[in-house]
Amino acid sequence: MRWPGAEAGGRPPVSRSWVLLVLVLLTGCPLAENYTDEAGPRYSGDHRPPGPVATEVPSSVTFVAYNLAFSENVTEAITALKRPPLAGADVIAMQEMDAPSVDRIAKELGLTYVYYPASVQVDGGDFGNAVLSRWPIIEDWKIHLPHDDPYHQRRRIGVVATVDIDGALVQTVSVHNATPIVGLGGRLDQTEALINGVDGRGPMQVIAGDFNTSDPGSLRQTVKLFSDRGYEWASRGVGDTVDSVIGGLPLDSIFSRGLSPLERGVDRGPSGSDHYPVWVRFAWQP
Amino acid sequence: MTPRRALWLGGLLLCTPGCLSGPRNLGAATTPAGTTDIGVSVTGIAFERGRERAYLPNPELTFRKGVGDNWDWGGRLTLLGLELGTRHRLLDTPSWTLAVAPSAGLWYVPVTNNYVEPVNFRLGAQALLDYRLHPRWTLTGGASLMGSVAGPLTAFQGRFNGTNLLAAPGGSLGIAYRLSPTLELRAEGGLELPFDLRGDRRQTSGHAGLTLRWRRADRR
Repeated sequence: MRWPGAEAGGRPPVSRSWVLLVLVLLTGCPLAENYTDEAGPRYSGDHRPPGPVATEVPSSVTFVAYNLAFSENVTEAITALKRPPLAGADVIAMQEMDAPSVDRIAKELGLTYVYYPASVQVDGGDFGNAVLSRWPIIEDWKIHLPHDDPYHQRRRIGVVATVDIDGALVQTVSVHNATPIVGLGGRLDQTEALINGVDGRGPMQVIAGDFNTSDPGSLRQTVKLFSDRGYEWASRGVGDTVDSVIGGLPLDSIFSRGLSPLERGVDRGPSGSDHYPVWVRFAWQP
Repeated sequence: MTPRRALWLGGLLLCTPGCLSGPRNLGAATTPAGTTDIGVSVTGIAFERGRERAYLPNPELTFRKGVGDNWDWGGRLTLLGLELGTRHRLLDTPSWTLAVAPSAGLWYVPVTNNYVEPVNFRLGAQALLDYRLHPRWTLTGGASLMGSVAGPLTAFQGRFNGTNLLAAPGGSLGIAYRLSPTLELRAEGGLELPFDLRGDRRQTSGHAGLTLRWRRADRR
């Protein structure tokens, strides 16, 4: 291709690099395919063994937040969830999941689950959140989060599962907020949408997952938002949950209302993910 | 993180705040025809981050080129943005000078973006009033009104979800000291009160900083 005027030895009216830049802007970021339906798609299954979950009232319950990095290493995740301190967890909030991976984990661990994809990844696989539980899930829904990301318009969601733990209901939310390409104000709006989504639905809530609080001040403002709404930062002090090229990052957290944390930690064993799972053991005195 | 990586990251962050609060660091006196002013500004900006206010340094390069007796053109440049405009002198007395400076700018602001608006197009004008306190000292008051379209990068693909229209009235106060016939040092502080035309007020943003400006005759 010759530029107009090039025959005369003149410079092209618009340089090739500018044309390339415009083309990159126009086509460089493929738009995400989001699941914008209010109620679905939804996947669920129950692989718990028959019979009662426990023979006596538990003295504590353990919640886990686990981002499994595009569900690529399910076998490693199952191994992690079968060894202490995650073994026997009562409720697991998972992110970056697809339906077959959630079902496989639930089957291997004998859990019931609910899963909603938020969008489709570039490799064609689904990308969403799940809640897996030893206890019955009696109700579930998804919460669309505001502020699709500005580069791909990717949608984020929260998945809510009402878990019946020995007759007491706990609203459990599996969260995956946007990365910092959505400004902090936008991510706080997403967190507030989750809090509002379970407000007034019972005395006990656990909101767990990847809040993407990697940028300076974002974790502090997120904790303040929860605190202002009556929540406790149940995983306070567990430290970084991701090792990155710029150092450790505290992306994953568990917040609770109406429950008292007894123990907390990050499982730094092999997790099959760039995230380490976070866990909190709560006293069970409903 | 290695020191070199930290230095690189710090340098990048230093250069990417972008267009927040528009510190133009200008006086009302236009650059004479046949000369060009080159300036380096070291400005601190205050902006909305989450639900609090944050502060960052924002270095800029500025230039003005004299065109006629009463007008010049120029702009300011950051790593990821450029604003261009003209300045027109409307009134000139021994003590007072009044000018108006319309401008347009396009900025990519990944660091100071608080929602989903990394791309900013700003269009507006600033009225500038100089009062000469002394042959070397000049006080400058400014009043501005800027309109912005702030939105996601996908706006280039026709997807405007998350785009906002903002209006930002503002004011500034500066003082300039002429170090030599070709060198000026200017200190300026200012505020903008942005609001979303379809929604809420946003936090006030502001700036304060210093500009060193050098004037040179153009080559003939």
